[in-house]
Amino acid sequence: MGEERKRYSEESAPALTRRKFFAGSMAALGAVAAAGVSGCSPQLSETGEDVPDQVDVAPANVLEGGEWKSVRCSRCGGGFCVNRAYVVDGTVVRMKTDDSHEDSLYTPQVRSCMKGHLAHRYYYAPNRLNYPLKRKSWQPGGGENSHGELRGKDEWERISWDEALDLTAQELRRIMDEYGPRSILSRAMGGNVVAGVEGGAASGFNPPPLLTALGGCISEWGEVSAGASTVVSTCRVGASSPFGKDYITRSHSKLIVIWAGDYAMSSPQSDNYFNEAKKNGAQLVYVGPWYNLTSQGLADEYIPVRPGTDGAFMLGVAYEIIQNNWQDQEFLDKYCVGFDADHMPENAPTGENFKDYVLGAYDDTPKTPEWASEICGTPVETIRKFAELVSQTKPLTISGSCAAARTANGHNYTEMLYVLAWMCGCDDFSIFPFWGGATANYIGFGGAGGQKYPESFDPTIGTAPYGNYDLSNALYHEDYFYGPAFCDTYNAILTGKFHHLAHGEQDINIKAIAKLSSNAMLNQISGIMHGIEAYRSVDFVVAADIFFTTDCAYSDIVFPVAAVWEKGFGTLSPGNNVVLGETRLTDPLYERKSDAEIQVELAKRLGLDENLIIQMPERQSDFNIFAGAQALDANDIAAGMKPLLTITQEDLDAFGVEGTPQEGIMPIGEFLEKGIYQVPRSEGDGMEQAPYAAFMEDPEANPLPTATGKFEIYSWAFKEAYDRFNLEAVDPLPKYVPAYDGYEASFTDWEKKIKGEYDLQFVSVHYISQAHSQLSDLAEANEIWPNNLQMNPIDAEARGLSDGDAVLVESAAGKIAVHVTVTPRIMPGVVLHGEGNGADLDEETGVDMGANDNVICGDRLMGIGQNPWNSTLVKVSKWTGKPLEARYQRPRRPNYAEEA
Amino acid sequence: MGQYGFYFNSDTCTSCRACVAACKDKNNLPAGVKYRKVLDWAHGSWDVSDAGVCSPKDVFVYSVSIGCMHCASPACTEACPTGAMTKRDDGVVFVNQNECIGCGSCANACPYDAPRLDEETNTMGKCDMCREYIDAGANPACVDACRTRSLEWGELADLQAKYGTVCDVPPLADSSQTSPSYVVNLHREAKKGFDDGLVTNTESELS
Repeated sequence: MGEERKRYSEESAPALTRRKFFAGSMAALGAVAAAGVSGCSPQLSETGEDVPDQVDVAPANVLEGGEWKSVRCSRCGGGFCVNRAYVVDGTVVRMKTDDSHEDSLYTPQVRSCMKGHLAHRYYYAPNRLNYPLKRKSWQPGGGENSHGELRGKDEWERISWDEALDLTAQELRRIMDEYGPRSILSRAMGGNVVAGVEGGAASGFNPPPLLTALGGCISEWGEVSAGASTVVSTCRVGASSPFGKDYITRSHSKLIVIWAGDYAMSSPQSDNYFNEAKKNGAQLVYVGPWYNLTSQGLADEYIPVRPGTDGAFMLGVAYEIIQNNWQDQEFLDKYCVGFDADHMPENAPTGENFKDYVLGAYDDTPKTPEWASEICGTPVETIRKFAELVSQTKPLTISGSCAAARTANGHNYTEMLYVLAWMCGCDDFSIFPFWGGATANYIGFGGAGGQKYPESFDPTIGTAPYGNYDLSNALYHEDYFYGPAFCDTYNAILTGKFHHLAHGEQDINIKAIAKLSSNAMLNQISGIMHGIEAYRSVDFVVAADIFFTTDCAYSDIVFPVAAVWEKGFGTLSPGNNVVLGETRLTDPLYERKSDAEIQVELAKRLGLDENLIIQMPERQSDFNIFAGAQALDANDIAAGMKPLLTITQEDLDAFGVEGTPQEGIMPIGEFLEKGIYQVPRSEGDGMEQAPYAAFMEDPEANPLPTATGKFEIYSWAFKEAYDRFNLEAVDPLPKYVPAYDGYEASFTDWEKKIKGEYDLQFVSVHYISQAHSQLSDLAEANEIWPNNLQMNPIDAEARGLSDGDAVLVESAAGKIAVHVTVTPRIMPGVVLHGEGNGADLDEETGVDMGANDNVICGDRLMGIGQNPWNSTLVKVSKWTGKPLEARYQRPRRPNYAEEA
Repeated sequence: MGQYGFYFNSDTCTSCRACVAACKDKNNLPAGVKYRKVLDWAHGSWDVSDAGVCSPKDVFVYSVSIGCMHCASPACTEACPTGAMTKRDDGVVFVNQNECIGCGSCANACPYDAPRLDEETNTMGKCDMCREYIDAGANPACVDACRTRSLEWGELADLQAKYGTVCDVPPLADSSQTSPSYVVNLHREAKKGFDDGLVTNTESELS
């Protein structure tokens, strides 16, 4: 550690200039970079025509000799903004954001957050992987040869590509031959845009084609981002992720309720789409455990609710509405089933209705505001006022977020959000904060012509992660093999038993873990301490990544992957009302290869047909995806979706790709220059979106895809869907159930309010300066957003803590060390921290000095296999260990390029 | 010429700090050095009842984004022993690095903590309103980066005509000291008259 610290000081401490930075991490291009970034020499002093005469020294860092190129920001879970990079001979020396058109409320520039402005520092960061690496003590052959106990502690050596590929192929072949396809676990969860490895032959959720071609592998199921919101949404609403109305329609809402999500923090830019509504006088209420960034910028009122208790809060609101007869009875009667005894579905085995449940007919507990208040912590008067406001103001928008569904009882928050909307006669509700439904109808992706997955893909051996989304949609195939759930994987590896969806506990024997074409799964799935133990127990772990992530640290062979700027033709992605595109900026630096290339090379060594991996050069498949993009033409909406890009024979020749010229909305050259096609919107443009319009018009003729064709307040289908997971029984009515490790569980005596050992609720949020693990190791991001634990002054005082103190956060699952910020923006009893930090375990103390939330949040399997991040109890005390540096001054992960 | 200044809308700012990152990038600053910073100012308190009910009292947070204030009466130029700290005819204050000896007098004098030491050259640096950008008719990097459109720049007189003359906002130093070229729209909650609170930033956010 001491040596790393020293190296860090020399490389990246405050004394460092950018020139040194480039020289250190990009030696090959140092001379070029210096020409672009140095600036104090007199010959660079032309600064324009109107320079006052006293200026006799040029500003630093004047741009020269390059050009601005458009790039897509891929460093986010939801925003997808436009960035522009100033490129000098293949080196990016400065970033800026969207300036492709005049900024306006209806058609805003798609400006990025700070991550976009730091993109080049991120791609050139010292912890980029440059060469293949091997863990010194590992040898193929399994058993003791692997020295798995040293994963995360061992030393590393640079090896040649041939050696790395040969060893990997040899070991995968051995394990496949000895133990079969279900002994190889593919860890994959979004390989394209939110990944540590951005895109590749197997982007998205599928296992890497290499493993499929080899004979199959197993992957994981469960829910991450969406928490427990999917199955309940599918069954009650008819869509696993319901979208609301578009932002122009929403601009006429009188009341906008934002629930739990923090647009400004986790999907920056999407909050801008409420500006027009605000300007029109809409009242905006935010509900959640902290006065967050979105509240700061938009909210007129903040309502505190404890994590995991939103359902109780809304039941209290429902009680008040029913008592005052404020509900929209016509809406409930016409569009919903199960609200009262007169409107039950035909198949209702329990016969209970929602209204009587709220009034306490079944459990002698009326769900009064007083009942709710004790659970959710919201003052009774606030619950009453909110009930009146939300039921008496129309048009109403309820914009939810999956954050509150990432709890042990997240289905209850989700279902009550819908029921509350329906009681208020509201058909504009959503569960995902970003995109807001705006993208889906304007923009499409042909996608045809890209690489194909191997046809030998066999779901009876192992399905794609999430079960290819089927499970989210309450679809289930008896014959498929879904593997372990995310929260069951480490248990499966360590015990040899796992929870099979259909057949209960089953044997499993995982010998290898392969993370190819995906993000940092060990770092990003809860239960890291358990995970480390599991990783140490297998024969072989291989990881391909852009950076030396936690996953790499616990691997045996590590492949350095080219970033999106370094490969193919370019990347296309959807954003808020836009299509974004970017082209390759440079060749791969050092020895990096695209993840498709890596898999092709492994396929060759395994004697597999490389056509199973890719069928055409990446440049061609990328281009085909561009050519297949579609969008609505604002000048000709009636024509429906059209090809987005006009491509001429000259374009094809210039790009060196094959294809057929086509007519589109925008020339491909203009699109690549601007980096964006934005569907121009205006009031009354005919592109308004109301997801339930036909159903609202005539619910009998246009039923919803639910079991009853209506919004299901009573849903037997929901109960049955949960039964298939064999993990948790739910009620057809949205009944409140305290969460495992929720607020109620923090007491040893609820009546007397005596707290137990773990007395604070922990909330893990997407953090603005990092997209999951991306940028989390970047000093320049960490200094601007240090990711301290946030704690209310009352809780700090009770623990003798002051603002800025280092603290120890402990849960049943693990311990982290972090600094604390004491602020009233967090409600008492709750502490909050950003996810994505790289785990950095101190082997002596067992404390994660990197402060990764997944060390604190455990991997308990429940519900529909959701990661219950926001149902976590902790205790916090003053840190007494060795001094804890400010996060941006902490040792970076090692830079192996230097030793190589 | 008149005096250029910044306008900042504290009511719409979400503290995202794109301005900080864009400024850092434009000025090529290493980790630990920033010419623009965003101050988070938190207000309010909570009552917790025996039953655990949490009542917020005037709880809100707003942010203030500042670089150099390009003051009408800059303390830095006054304090600078070599004349390196220069105020242009258009009011932009910048460091002439040829003259600067890195003594830090300007940093000590500035009530906004704007000047920063470049340890490599041992000279001071600070927000110069991206003078080569504005001289070429473009916006400062922070303004173009502002995700919530809360930052503007221009002739101070024009900004004042458009947005008023308020330039005092907690936790900034009293404007009477140096007459900052700054116009601020107060946060909707701050307009209710609350003026006590606390800065919740860490040291690294403000360095």
